Amino acid sequence: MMLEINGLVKKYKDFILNCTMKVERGCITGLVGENGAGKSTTFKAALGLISYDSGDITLMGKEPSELKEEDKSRIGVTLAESGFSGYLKVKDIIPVMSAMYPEFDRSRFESLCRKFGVPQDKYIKEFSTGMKAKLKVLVAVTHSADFLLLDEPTTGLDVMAREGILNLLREYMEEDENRSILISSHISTDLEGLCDDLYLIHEGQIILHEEMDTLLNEYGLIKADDVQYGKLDKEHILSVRRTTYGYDCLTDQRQYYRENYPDIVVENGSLDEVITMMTGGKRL
Amino acid sequence: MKGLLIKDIRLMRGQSTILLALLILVAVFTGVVSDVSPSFVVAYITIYLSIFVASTISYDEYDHGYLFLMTLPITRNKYVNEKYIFGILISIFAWCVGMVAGTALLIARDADMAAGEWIGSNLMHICIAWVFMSITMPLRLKFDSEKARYANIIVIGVILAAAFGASKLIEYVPEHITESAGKFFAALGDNGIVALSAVIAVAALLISYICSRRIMAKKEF
Repeated sequence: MMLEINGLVKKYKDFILNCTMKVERGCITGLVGENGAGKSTTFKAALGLISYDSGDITLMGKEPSELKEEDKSRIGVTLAESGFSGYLKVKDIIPVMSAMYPEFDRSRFESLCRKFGVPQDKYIKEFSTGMKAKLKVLVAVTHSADFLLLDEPTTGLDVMAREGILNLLREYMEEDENRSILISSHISTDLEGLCDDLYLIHEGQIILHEEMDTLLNEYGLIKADDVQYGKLDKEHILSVRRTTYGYDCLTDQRQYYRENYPDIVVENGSLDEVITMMTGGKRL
Repeated sequence: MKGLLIKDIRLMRGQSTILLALLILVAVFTGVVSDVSPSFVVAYITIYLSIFVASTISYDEYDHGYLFLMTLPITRNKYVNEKYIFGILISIFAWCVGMVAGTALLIARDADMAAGEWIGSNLMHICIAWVFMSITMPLRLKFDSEKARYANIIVIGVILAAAFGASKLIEYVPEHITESAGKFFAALGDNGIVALSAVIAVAALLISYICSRRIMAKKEF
Protein backbone atom coordinates (compact mmCIF):
# COMPACT_ATOMS: atom_id res chain seq x y z
CA MET A 1 0.00 0.00 0.00
CA MET A 2 1.36 3.43 -0.93
CA LEU A 3 -1.02 5.58 1.07
CA GLU A 4 -3.61 4.70 3.64
CA ILE A 5 -5.79 7.29 5.34
CA ASN A 6 -8.11 6.00 8.06
CA GLY A 7 -10.69 8.25 9.68
CA LEU A 8 -8.71 11.43 9.12
CA VAL A 9 -10.44 14.39 10.76
CA LYS A 10 -9.20 17.94 10.34
CA LYS A 11 -11.33 20.72 11.77
CA TYR A 12 -11.20 24.31 10.62
CA LYS A 13 -13.46 27.12 11.80
CA ASP A 14 -16.05 26.58 9.07
CA PHE A 15 -14.99 23.28 7.55
CA ILE A 16 -14.46 19.70 8.70
CA LEU A 17 -12.58 17.15 6.64
CA ASN A 18 -13.46 13.54 7.29
CA CYS A 19 -11.56 11.24 4.98
CA THR A 20 -10.79 7.55 4.60
CA MET A 21 -9.05 6.38 1.46
CA LYS A 22 -6.15 4.36 0.14
CA VAL A 23 -3.84 4.21 -2.85
CA GLU A 24 -2.67 0.72 -3.80
CA ARG A 25 0.72 -0.10 -5.32
CA GLY A 26 0.59 -0.03 -9.13
CA CYS A 27 -2.59 2.05 -9.21
CA ILE A 28 -3.59 5.51 -10.29
CA THR A 29 -6.19 6.78 -7.85
CA GLY A 30 -8.19 9.91 -8.57
CA LEU A 31 -9.60 12.34 -6.06
CA VAL A 32 -12.29 14.50 -7.54
CA GLY A 33 -14.44 17.23 -6.07
CA GLU A 34 -15.31 20.88 -6.45
CA ASN A 35 -13.08 23.70 -5.19
CA GLY A 36 -13.06 23.79 -1.42
CA ALA A 37 -14.24 20.17 -1.08
CA GLY A 38 -11.13 19.17 0.87
CA LYS A 39 -8.77 17.80 -1.81
CA SER A 40 -5.83 20.03 -0.98
CA THR A 41 -6.33 19.56 2.76
CA THR A 42 -6.16 15.78 2.22
CA PHE A 43 -2.89 16.19 0.30
CA LYS A 44 -1.43 18.48 2.96
CA ALA A 45 -2.33 16.06 5.75
CA ALA A 46 -0.90 13.09 3.83
CA LEU A 47 2.36 14.97 3.34
CA GLY A 48 2.65 16.06 6.97
CA LEU A 49 2.27 19.75 6.18
CA ILE A 50 -0.59 20.23 8.61
CA SER A 51 -1.55 18.61 11.90
CA TYR A 52 -4.86 16.77 12.18
CA ASP A 53 -7.35 16.20 14.94
CA SER A 54 -7.71 12.42 14.67
CA GLY A 55 -7.19 9.47 12.37
CA ASP A 56 -4.18 7.60 11.00
CA ILE A 57 -2.17 8.24 7.89
CA THR A 58 0.58 6.00 6.54
CA LEU A 59 2.55 7.17 3.53
CA MET A 60 4.82 4.43 2.18
CA GLY A 61 4.59 2.67 5.53
CA LYS A 62 5.32 5.65 7.77
CA GLU A 63 3.40 8.39 9.51
CA PRO A 64 3.87 11.67 7.61
CA SER A 65 5.72 13.30 10.52
CA GLU A 66 8.21 10.41 10.56
CA LEU A 67 9.21 10.75 6.91
CA LYS A 68 12.95 11.17 6.48
CA GLU A 69 14.76 12.83 3.61
CA GLU A 70 15.35 9.51 1.85
CA ASP A 71 11.62 8.71 2.06
CA LYS A 72 10.70 12.10 0.66
CA SER A 73 13.15 11.68 -2.22
CA ARG A 74 11.00 8.72 -3.31
CA ILE A 75 7.88 10.80 -3.75
CA GLY A 76 7.06 13.47 -6.33
CA VAL A 77 4.60 16.18 -5.42
CA THR A 78 2.74 18.96 -7.19
CA LEU A 79 0.50 21.24 -5.16
CA ALA A 80 -2.33 23.34 -6.51
CA GLU A 81 -1.08 26.76 -5.51
CA SER A 82 2.54 26.21 -4.67
CA GLY A 83 5.84 25.54 -6.38
CA PHE A 84 9.46 26.65 -6.45
CA SER A 85 9.96 30.29 -5.47
CA GLY A 86 9.07 32.71 -8.27
CA TYR A 87 12.43 34.40 -7.72
CA LEU A 88 14.24 31.37 -9.16
CA LYS A 89 14.77 30.37 -12.76
CA VAL A 90 14.61 26.80 -14.10
CA LYS A 91 18.39 26.85 -14.52
CA ASP A 92 18.62 27.62 -10.76
CA ILE A 93 16.35 24.70 -9.93
CA ILE A 94 18.46 22.12 -11.79
CA PRO A 95 21.44 22.14 -9.35
CA VAL A 96 18.99 22.21 -6.42
CA MET A 97 17.23 19.10 -7.76
CA SER A 98 20.56 17.37 -8.45
CA ALA A 99 21.65 17.98 -4.87
CA MET A 100 18.35 16.88 -3.34
CA TYR A 101 17.39 13.84 -5.41
CA PRO A 102 20.03 11.13 -5.90
CA GLU A 103 18.22 9.87 -9.00
CA PHE A 104 17.40 13.19 -10.64
CA ASP A 105 17.69 12.77 -14.42
CA ARG A 106 18.99 16.13 -15.48
CA SER A 107 19.16 15.50 -19.22
CA ARG A 108 15.61 14.12 -19.29
CA PHE A 109 14.36 17.11 -17.31
CA GLU A 110 16.05 19.52 -19.69
CA SER A 111 14.76 17.76 -22.78
CA LEU A 112 11.21 17.69 -21.34
CA CYS A 113 11.47 21.42 -20.59
CA ARG A 114 12.34 22.02 -24.23
CA LYS A 115 9.57 19.68 -25.42
CA PHE A 116 6.91 21.38 -23.27
CA GLY A 117 8.16 24.91 -23.95
CA VAL A 118 9.26 25.66 -20.39
CA PRO A 119 11.91 28.40 -20.58
CA GLN A 120 15.06 27.85 -18.53
CA ASP A 121 16.30 31.42 -18.30
CA LYS A 122 13.25 33.25 -17.06
CA TYR A 123 12.04 33.94 -13.52
CA ILE A 124 9.23 31.55 -12.58
CA LYS A 125 7.13 34.48 -11.36
CA GLU A 126 7.01 35.65 -14.97
CA PHE A 127 5.70 32.24 -16.18
CA SER A 128 2.15 31.79 -17.42
CA THR A 129 -0.16 29.56 -15.36
CA GLY A 130 0.29 26.79 -17.92
CA MET A 131 4.10 27.00 -17.85
CA LYS A 132 4.12 26.82 -14.06
CA ALA A 133 1.81 23.78 -14.12
CA LYS A 134 4.04 22.00 -16.65
CA LEU A 135 7.20 22.76 -14.68
CA LYS A 136 5.70 21.29 -11.50
CA VAL A 137 4.87 18.00 -13.20
CA LEU A 138 8.28 17.81 -14.92
CA VAL A 139 9.99 18.27 -11.55
CA ALA A 140 7.84 15.51 -10.03
CA VAL A 141 8.41 12.88 -12.73
CA THR A 142 12.14 13.19 -13.35
CA HIS A 143 13.67 11.81 -10.16
CA SER A 144 12.44 8.19 -10.30
CA ALA A 145 9.89 8.62 -7.52
CA ASP A 146 7.88 5.57 -6.47
CA PHE A 147 4.78 7.58 -5.73
CA LEU A 148 3.38 10.79 -7.20
CA LEU A 149 0.93 12.96 -5.28
CA LEU A 150 -0.45 15.43 -7.79
CA ASP A 151 -2.92 18.04 -6.63
CA GLU A 152 -4.61 19.65 -9.65
CA PRO A 153 -1.64 19.12 -12.00
CA THR A 154 -3.52 20.05 -15.16
CA THR A 155 -5.11 23.31 -14.00
CA GLY A 156 -4.43 26.14 -16.41
CA LEU A 157 -3.24 23.89 -19.24
CA ASP A 158 -4.69 23.98 -22.74
CA VAL A 159 -6.02 20.76 -24.28
CA MET A 160 -2.77 19.87 -26.08
CA ALA A 161 -0.56 20.48 -23.07
CA ARG A 162 -2.97 18.56 -20.87
CA GLU A 163 -2.81 15.54 -23.14
CA GLY A 164 1.00 15.80 -23.15
CA ILE A 165 1.14 15.82 -19.36
CA LEU A 166 -1.31 12.91 -19.06
CA ASN A 167 0.81 10.91 -21.49
CA LEU A 168 3.85 11.68 -19.40
CA LEU A 169 2.05 10.22 -16.39
CA ARG A 170 1.10 7.09 -18.36
CA GLU A 171 4.77 6.67 -19.39
CA TYR A 172 5.79 7.12 -15.78
CA MET A 173 3.51 4.24 -14.76
CA GLU A 174 4.66 2.00 -17.61
CA GLU A 175 8.30 2.32 -16.55
CA ASP A 176 7.69 0.44 -13.30
CA GLU A 177 4.60 -1.53 -12.36
CA ASN A 178 5.06 -0.86 -8.64
CA ARG A 179 4.62 2.88 -8.99
CA SER A 180 1.46 4.69 -7.93
CA ILE A 181 -0.18 8.05 -8.46
CA LEU A 182 -2.73 9.95 -6.42
CA ILE A 183 -4.13 12.68 -8.62
CA SER A 184 -6.80 15.27 -7.95
CA SER A 185 -8.59 17.30 -10.54
CA HIS A 186 -11.83 19.06 -11.17
CA ILE A 187 -11.51 18.28 -14.87
CA SER A 188 -13.18 14.89 -14.95
CA THR A 189 -12.15 13.91 -18.48
CA ASP A 190 -8.53 13.96 -17.31
CA LEU A 191 -9.30 11.33 -14.71
CA GLU A 192 -11.63 9.21 -16.86
CA GLY A 193 -8.90 8.07 -19.18
CA LEU A 194 -6.20 7.76 -16.56
CA CYS A 195 -7.39 6.45 -13.21
CA ASP A 196 -7.95 2.89 -11.99
CA ASP A 197 -10.21 3.99 -9.18
CA LEU A 198 -11.73 7.19 -7.98
CA TYR A 199 -12.82 8.92 -4.79
CA LEU A 200 -15.40 11.68 -4.88
CA ILE A 201 -15.10 14.22 -2.09
CA HIS A 202 -17.85 16.68 -1.25
CA GLU A 203 -17.96 19.19 1.62
CA GLY A 204 -15.12 17.37 3.37
CA GLN A 205 -16.67 13.89 3.10
CA ILE A 206 -15.82 11.02 0.75
CA ILE A 207 -19.20 10.28 -0.80
CA LEU A 208 -18.17 7.74 -3.44
CA HIS A 209 -15.35 5.29 -4.09
CA GLU A 210 -15.49 3.23 -7.24
CA GLU A 211 -13.34 1.44 -9.81
CA MET A 212 -13.17 3.58 -12.94
CA ASP A 213 -14.21 0.63 -15.18
CA THR A 214 -17.29 0.01 -13.04
CA LEU A 215 -18.13 3.67 -13.11
CA LEU A 216 -17.98 3.89 -16.87
CA ASN A 217 -19.49 0.47 -17.67
CA GLU A 218 -22.13 -0.01 -15.01
CA TYR A 219 -23.26 3.44 -13.90
CA GLY A 220 -26.06 5.08 -15.85
CA LEU A 221 -28.41 8.01 -15.84
CA ILE A 222 -32.13 7.19 -15.90
CA LYS A 223 -34.36 9.88 -17.34
CA ALA A 224 -37.89 9.27 -16.12
CA ASP A 225 -41.12 11.29 -16.14
CA ASP A 226 -43.24 11.54 -12.99
CA VAL A 227 -45.26 8.38 -13.72
CA GLN A 228 -42.23 6.31 -14.71
CA TYR A 229 -40.37 7.52 -11.64
CA GLY A 230 -43.28 6.41 -9.41
CA LYS A 231 -43.07 2.86 -10.75
CA LEU A 232 -39.27 2.70 -10.67
CA ASP A 233 -37.53 0.20 -8.38
CA LYS A 234 -35.37 2.47 -6.17
CA GLU A 235 -33.15 -0.39 -4.96
CA HIS A 236 -30.19 0.53 -7.17
CA ILE A 237 -30.72 4.29 -7.38
CA LEU A 238 -27.90 6.29 -5.79
CA SER A 239 -29.12 9.81 -6.31
CA VAL A 240 -32.13 11.66 -7.72
CA ARG A 241 -32.53 15.15 -9.14
CA ARG A 242 -35.76 16.92 -10.12
CA THR A 243 -35.78 18.19 -13.71
CA THR A 244 -38.30 20.00 -15.94
CA TYR A 245 -39.55 16.73 -17.45
CA GLY A 246 -39.46 14.58 -14.31
CA TYR A 247 -36.42 13.01 -12.65
CA ASP A 248 -32.79 12.19 -13.40
CA CYS A 249 -31.70 9.14 -11.43
CA LEU A 250 -28.11 7.91 -11.05
CA THR A 251 -27.76 4.14 -10.87
CA ASP A 252 -24.83 1.77 -10.50
CA GLN A 253 -26.81 -1.01 -12.26
CA ARG A 254 -27.82 0.46 -15.61
CA GLN A 255 -28.18 -2.94 -17.25
CA TYR A 256 -30.83 -3.91 -14.69
CA TYR A 257 -32.96 -0.87 -15.58
CA ARG A 258 -32.40 -1.26 -19.32
CA GLU A 259 -33.68 -4.84 -19.12
CA ASN A 260 -36.59 -4.21 -16.77
CA TYR A 261 -37.73 -0.81 -18.00
CA PRO A 262 -37.27 -0.90 -21.80
CA ASP A 263 -39.45 2.21 -22.26
CA ILE A 264 -37.26 4.41 -20.02
CA VAL A 265 -34.15 6.14 -21.36
CA VAL A 266 -30.99 4.94 -19.56
CA GLU A 267 -27.88 6.83 -20.67
CA ASN A 268 -24.32 5.61 -20.14
CA GLY A 269 -22.70 7.20 -17.14
CA SER A 270 -19.91 9.70 -17.50
CA LEU A 271 -17.78 10.94 -14.66
CA ASP A 272 -19.27 14.42 -15.04
CA GLU A 273 -22.79 13.05 -14.63
CA VAL A 274 -21.78 10.99 -11.61
CA ILE A 275 -20.19 14.03 -9.96
CA THR A 276 -23.12 16.33 -10.72
CA MET A 277 -25.68 13.79 -9.52
CA MET A 278 -23.78 12.80 -6.38
CA THR A 279 -23.02 16.35 -5.31
CA GLY A 280 -26.09 18.16 -6.65
CA GLY A 281 -28.82 15.52 -6.44
CA LYS A 282 -30.62 14.07 -3.44
CA ARG A 283 -28.71 10.99 -2.33
CA LEU A 284 -30.94 8.00 -1.52
CA MET B 1 20.92 20.67 3.06
CA LYS B 2 23.24 21.20 0.10
CA GLY B 3 20.23 21.69 -2.15
CA LEU B 4 18.76 24.32 0.15
CA LEU B 5 22.07 26.16 0.34
CA ILE B 6 22.31 26.18 -3.45
CA LYS B 7 18.74 27.51 -3.60
CA ASP B 8 19.45 30.32 -1.15
CA ILE B 9 22.73 31.26 -2.79
CA ARG B 10 20.96 31.38 -6.16
CA LEU B 11 18.08 33.39 -4.68
CA MET B 12 20.47 35.83 -3.11
CA ARG B 13 22.67 36.04 -6.19
CA GLY B 14 19.64 36.90 -8.27
CA GLN B 15 18.30 39.46 -5.85
CA SER B 16 21.21 40.93 -3.99
CA THR B 17 23.99 41.54 -6.51
CA ILE B 18 22.62 45.01 -7.09
CA LEU B 19 22.03 45.47 -3.36
CA LEU B 20 25.63 44.53 -2.57
CA ALA B 21 27.04 46.79 -5.28
CA LEU B 22 24.86 49.62 -4.00
CA LEU B 23 25.93 49.00 -0.40
CA ILE B 24 29.62 49.14 -1.30
CA LEU B 25 29.07 52.25 -3.40
CA VAL B 26 27.11 54.04 -0.67
CA ALA B 27 29.53 52.97 2.04
CA VAL B 28 32.65 54.01 0.16
CA PHE B 29 31.02 57.22 -1.04
CA THR B 30 30.05 58.16 2.53
CA GLY B 31 33.57 57.27 3.59
CA VAL B 32 35.10 59.51 0.93
CA VAL B 33 32.86 62.58 1.18
CA SER B 34 32.30 62.52 4.94
CA ASP B 35 34.66 61.76 7.77
CA VAL B 36 32.96 58.57 9.00
CA SER B 37 35.48 55.99 10.09
CA PRO B 38 36.36 53.14 7.72
CA SER B 39 35.13 50.87 10.48
CA PHE B 40 31.62 52.24 9.91
CA VAL B 41 31.81 51.03 6.31
CA VAL B 42 32.58 47.49 7.51
CA ALA B 43 29.74 47.60 10.05
CA TYR B 44 27.29 48.97 7.50
CA ILE B 45 27.91 46.28 4.87
CA THR B 46 28.13 43.38 7.36
CA ILE B 47 25.00 44.18 9.32
CA TYR B 48 22.86 45.25 6.36
CA LEU B 49 23.59 42.13 4.32
CA SER B 50 23.12 39.84 7.33
CA ILE B 51 19.65 41.23 7.94
CA PHE B 52 18.90 40.34 4.33
CA VAL B 53 19.34 36.63 5.21
CA ALA B 54 15.99 36.52 7.01
CA SER B 55 14.36 37.90 3.90
CA THR B 56 15.31 34.74 1.95
CA ILE B 57 12.49 33.24 4.04
CA SER B 58 10.18 35.72 2.28
CA TYR B 59 11.39 34.40 -1.06
CA ASP B 60 10.63 30.86 0.14
CA GLU B 61 7.19 32.00 1.18
CA TYR B 62 6.37 33.90 -2.01
CA ASP B 63 3.31 32.44 -3.76
CA HIS B 64 2.80 29.79 -1.02
CA GLY B 65 6.23 28.39 -1.93
CA TYR B 66 6.80 27.12 1.61
CA LEU B 67 4.25 24.41 1.10
CA PHE B 68 6.05 22.93 -1.88
CA LEU B 69 9.48 23.39 -0.31
CA MET B 70 8.44 21.18 2.58
CA THR B 71 7.49 18.35 0.21
CA LEU B 72 11.09 18.21 -1.05
CA PRO B 73 13.54 15.81 0.64
CA ILE B 74 14.17 18.05 3.62
CA THR B 75 12.89 18.04 7.19
CA ARG B 76 11.73 21.02 9.23
CA ASN B 77 14.87 20.81 11.39
CA LYS B 78 17.15 20.67 8.36
CA TYR B 79 15.45 23.77 6.99
CA VAL B 80 16.25 25.68 10.19
CA ASN B 81 19.82 24.31 10.26
CA GLU B 82 20.35 25.50 6.72
CA LYS B 83 19.03 29.01 7.39
CA TYR B 84 21.46 29.52 10.27
CA ILE B 85 24.42 28.06 8.40
CA PHE B 86 23.55 30.21 5.41
CA GLY B 87 23.22 33.25 7.68
CA ILE B 88 26.60 32.68 9.29
CA LEU B 89 28.24 32.14 5.89
CA ILE B 90 26.67 35.30 4.49
CA SER B 91 27.69 37.40 7.50
CA ILE B 92 31.28 36.20 7.11
CA PHE B 93 31.17 36.89 3.37
CA ALA B 94 29.66 40.35 3.96
CA TRP B 95 32.30 41.08 6.59
CA CYS B 96 35.08 40.14 4.17
CA VAL B 97 33.57 42.43 1.51
CA GLY B 98 33.20 45.19 4.10
CA MET B 99 36.79 44.68 5.22
CA VAL B 100 38.07 45.03 1.66
CA ALA B 101 36.08 48.25 1.21
CA GLY B 102 37.04 49.58 4.66
CA THR B 103 40.71 48.70 4.25
CA ALA B 104 40.78 50.40 0.85
CA LEU B 105 39.38 53.52 2.51
CA LEU B 106 41.89 53.25 5.34
CA ILE B 107 44.77 53.06 2.90
CA ALA B 108 43.35 55.92 0.81
CA ARG B 109 43.26 58.07 3.94
CA ASP B 110 46.78 57.08 4.75
CA ALA B 111 45.69 56.30 8.29
CA ASP B 112 48.09 54.81 10.74
CA MET B 113 46.64 51.71 12.35
CA ALA B 114 48.03 48.35 13.36
CA ALA B 115 46.58 45.46 11.35
CA GLY B 116 45.69 43.50 14.49
CA GLU B 117 43.83 46.42 16.02
CA TRP B 118 41.98 47.10 12.75
CA ILE B 119 40.83 43.51 12.28
CA GLY B 120 40.07 43.01 15.96
CA SER B 121 37.89 46.09 16.28
CA ASN B 122 35.94 45.11 13.17
CA LEU B 123 35.30 41.56 14.40
CA MET B 124 32.78 43.20 16.72
CA HIS B 125 30.56 43.89 13.72
CA ILE B 126 30.12 40.19 12.96
CA CYS B 127 29.01 39.73 16.56
CA ILE B 128 26.46 42.53 16.19
CA ALA B 129 25.25 41.04 12.88
CA TRP B 130 24.77 37.67 14.60
CA VAL B 131 22.75 39.25 17.40
CA PHE B 132 20.55 40.96 14.79
CA MET B 133 20.17 37.67 12.96
CA SER B 134 19.25 35.92 16.21
CA ILE B 135 16.35 38.32 16.61
CA THR B 136 15.09 38.50 13.02
CA MET B 137 15.24 34.78 12.16
CA PRO B 138 12.75 33.29 14.67
CA LEU B 139 10.44 36.27 14.24
CA ARG B 140 10.47 35.79 10.49
CA LEU B 141 9.72 32.07 10.88
CA LYS B 142 6.92 32.73 13.33
CA PHE B 143 5.14 35.55 11.50
CA ASP B 144 4.43 36.35 7.86
CA SER B 145 6.56 39.08 6.31
CA GLU B 146 4.24 41.97 7.19
CA LYS B 147 3.83 41.02 10.86
CA ALA B 148 7.52 40.09 11.15
CA ARG B 149 8.48 43.60 10.07
CA TYR B 150 6.44 45.12 12.91
CA ALA B 151 7.70 42.47 15.33
CA ASN B 152 11.31 43.35 14.37
CA ILE B 153 10.69 47.05 14.97
CA ILE B 154 9.07 46.33 18.33
CA VAL B 155 11.84 43.98 19.49
CA ILE B 156 14.63 46.33 18.41
CA GLY B 157 12.72 49.21 20.03
CA VAL B 158 12.44 47.24 23.27
CA ILE B 159 16.18 46.47 23.20
CA LEU B 160 17.07 50.12 22.63
CA ALA B 161 14.68 51.21 25.38
CA ALA B 162 16.18 48.61 27.71
CA ALA B 163 19.70 49.81 26.86
CA PHE B 164 18.65 53.41 27.47
CA GLY B 165 16.93 52.44 30.71
CA ALA B 166 20.00 50.51 31.83
CA SER B 167 22.28 53.49 31.08
CA LYS B 168 19.98 55.69 33.20
CA LEU B 169 19.70 53.13 35.96
CA ILE B 170 23.45 52.82 36.19
CA GLU B 171 23.53 56.29 37.80
CA TYR B 172 21.74 54.85 40.81
CA VAL B 173 24.00 51.82 41.10
CA PRO B 174 26.40 52.18 44.07
CA GLU B 175 29.79 53.44 42.99
CA HIS B 176 31.80 50.49 44.23
CA ILE B 177 29.86 48.18 41.85
CA THR B 178 30.34 50.36 38.75
CA GLU B 179 33.96 50.79 39.68
CA SER B 180 34.59 47.07 39.93
CA ALA B 181 32.70 46.54 36.65
CA GLY B 182 34.90 49.19 35.02
CA LYS B 183 37.96 47.41 36.37
CA PHE B 184 36.66 44.11 35.06
CA PHE B 185 36.32 45.47 31.51
CA ALA B 186 39.64 47.25 31.73
CA ALA B 187 41.24 44.00 32.84
CA LEU B 188 39.67 42.18 29.90
CA GLY B 189 41.43 44.44 27.41
CA ASP B 190 40.44 44.88 23.79
CA ASN B 191 40.90 41.22 22.94
CA GLY B 192 38.94 40.17 25.98
CA ILE B 193 36.03 42.40 25.03
CA VAL B 194 35.98 41.00 21.49
CA ALA B 195 36.02 37.49 22.96
CA LEU B 196 33.20 38.36 25.36
CA SER B 197 31.14 39.79 22.48
CA ALA B 198 31.74 36.65 20.49
CA VAL B 199 30.51 34.53 23.40
CA ILE B 200 27.38 36.69 23.72
CA ALA B 201 26.73 36.55 19.94
CA VAL B 202 27.14 32.76 19.82
CA ALA B 203 24.88 32.36 22.85
CA ALA B 204 22.25 34.57 21.17
CA LEU B 205 22.51 32.45 18.01
CA LEU B 206 22.12 29.25 20.00
CA ILE B 207 19.04 30.46 21.87
CA SER B 208 17.59 31.84 18.63
CA TYR B 209 18.29 28.53 16.87
CA ILE B 210 16.50 26.51 19.55
CA CYS B 211 13.49 28.88 19.37
CA SER B 212 13.43 28.64 15.56
CA ARG B 213 13.41 24.84 15.65
CA ARG B 214 10.46 24.87 18.03
CA ILE B 215 8.58 27.40 15.92
CA MET B 216 9.20 25.38 12.77
CA ALA B 217 8.14 22.10 14.40
CA LYS B 218 4.73 23.57 15.20
CA LYS B 219 4.23 25.44 11.93
CA GLU B 220 1.12 24.65 9.86
CA PHE B 221 1.56 25.08 6.12
